[in-house]
Amino acid sequence: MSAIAFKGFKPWYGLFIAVILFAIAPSFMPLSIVSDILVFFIVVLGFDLLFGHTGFLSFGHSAFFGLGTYGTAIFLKYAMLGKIPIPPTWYWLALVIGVIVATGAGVLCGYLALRRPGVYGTFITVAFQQAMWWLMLKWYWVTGGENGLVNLPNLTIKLPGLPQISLGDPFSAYFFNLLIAIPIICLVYRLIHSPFGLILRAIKDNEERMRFLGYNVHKYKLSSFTLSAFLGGVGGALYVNYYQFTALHTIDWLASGDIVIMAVLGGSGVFWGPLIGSALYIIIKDFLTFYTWWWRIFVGSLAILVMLFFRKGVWGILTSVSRKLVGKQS
Amino acid sequence: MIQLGPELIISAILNGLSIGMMLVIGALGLAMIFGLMHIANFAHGNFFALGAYMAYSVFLYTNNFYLVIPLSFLSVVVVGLILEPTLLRRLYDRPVVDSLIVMFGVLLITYDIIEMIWGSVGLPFSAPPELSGAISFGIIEYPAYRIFQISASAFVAFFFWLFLKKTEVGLLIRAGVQNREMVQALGVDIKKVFLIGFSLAVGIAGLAGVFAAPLMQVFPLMGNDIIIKIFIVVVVGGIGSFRGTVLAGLILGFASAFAALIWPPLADIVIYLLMGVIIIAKPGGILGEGEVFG
Repeated sequence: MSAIAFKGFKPWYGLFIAVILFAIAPSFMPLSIVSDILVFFIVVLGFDLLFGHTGFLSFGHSAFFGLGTYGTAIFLKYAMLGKIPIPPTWYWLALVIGVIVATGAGVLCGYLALRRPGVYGTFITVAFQQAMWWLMLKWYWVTGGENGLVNLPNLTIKLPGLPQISLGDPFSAYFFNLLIAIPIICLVYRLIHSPFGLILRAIKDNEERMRFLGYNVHKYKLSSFTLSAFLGGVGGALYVNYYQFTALHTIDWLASGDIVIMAVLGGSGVFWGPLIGSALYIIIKDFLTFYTWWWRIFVGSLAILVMLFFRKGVWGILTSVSRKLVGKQS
Repeated sequence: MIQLGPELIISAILNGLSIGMMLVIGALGLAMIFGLMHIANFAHGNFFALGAYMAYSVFLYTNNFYLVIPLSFLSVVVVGLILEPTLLRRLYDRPVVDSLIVMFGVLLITYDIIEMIWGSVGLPFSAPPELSGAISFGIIEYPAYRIFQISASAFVAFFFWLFLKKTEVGLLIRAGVQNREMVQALGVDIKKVFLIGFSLAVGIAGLAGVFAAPLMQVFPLMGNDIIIKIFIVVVVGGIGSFRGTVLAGLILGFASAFAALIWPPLADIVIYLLMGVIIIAKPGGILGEGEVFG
């Protein structure tokens, strides 16, 4: 499809270039922005697996990102308080817990949302996200309520035969995140280009036909939903590892909207869409929130413009431009 | 445990009616827009908020609550009349999810515009003096304004129903929900029907906001609180069903009012739990699928 435009360009090179870019980006951009781009690349990748590839819009995806941050943060909080008896070198377990919490929530939400067709399922995801937001707000003795959870401990990693690494400074936390992100991103890449990914896209195109062909459509959709929530949880866990805090802004409706807009801005249904979308959106939003209080007007207009006139996103524009250039040569 | 005397039960029933009717007239418009135009109006809650804010401003200048109701309704209708030809018309031949994302953009923009004009701080809005007292029902006293809100919302729902059942435009709207292509094939200008339908639907959401304003503060996020509940009403009520929407709104209203009797925070949880239970037990909504709006 899109790879046709770049003849002789092997897709795996793209992954390699992306990793190099993530590795050198901190030298010319603020680290927190690069870290956000990495985190939201993973989250939007998960969202787009469900939206762009399976054809189900989840407008409550911040529930899984947020539960990933809260799962990690709550575990760290109780580990720090000594309620969970583990040594500091085992604090990284919190990341695993965060991902498990988010994935579990994904199974539950997916089970409910996929019982209803189309946009009704989307409404259910919105309600689910709002319920989770509400839970995090009202369960304040555990989640910190409006203040969120701050001053969480840094992770320290001790592998046998290697010196102990402390992730105290932002740089080491970021590169640790990158190290975790690389295999996961490669895995998603492989998954999208596997028969499984092909079946998901076939379901998006014609669900009825896939059902007639004997595929268990519901099972595939639920798997896609669960994977999507898993990636949201990974993003959440890495977010906490970098910032050592979480609050309600990770689980609210605006965060859900952010994720959706990133996906359509970059281009949904293509692997590199989420990277372009999250990078552009985070830079634009950082710029807007710095200069104006009314950033929602610009972000809302951006969403409308992209949806109405550039439905295929920035990646779509890039491929059509490059296709024209290639077309002229041949 | 607390004692559940008859006065508590009666006031819970009235509270349930009050919350339920607010949800019903909020959700009817959303259900109609979806059924007729296949647009998922994420910004519906902000028309609710806009109605409440217009009520605040009109009341500030005229000091007459009975003038506030038609003026706020008309101003929200005008916003609908502007929005339909400029934006929604581009969405009719697109997937529903596209419209949801576009309307989310509208939600963000209208949210900021409301904050620009009226500020981000909640504004107090009290019921007119003749409605601010309490009405005695023998064993209990109940706020007169809530009685007004319940009956006014019921009137709006009833007139909306009459409009759909008895007028030509209403007939076309119901026909359009059933089979849009057929209506067009019969030579009806469906665009006009859409224009009227959309403006009316958001106008009714605005009215719900006007009625709700004295019950709560008027604040920018009020649309967001209501849209989630309206989504749940529509999910529970079934696809494009008038009776289902009314029934679902009332059930959720009663559930949250009675839950509040037991433990106040339960009022919010119970709506989400009820949604989950109904989705599992009756995937097609409480009245089942296949119902046609009207």
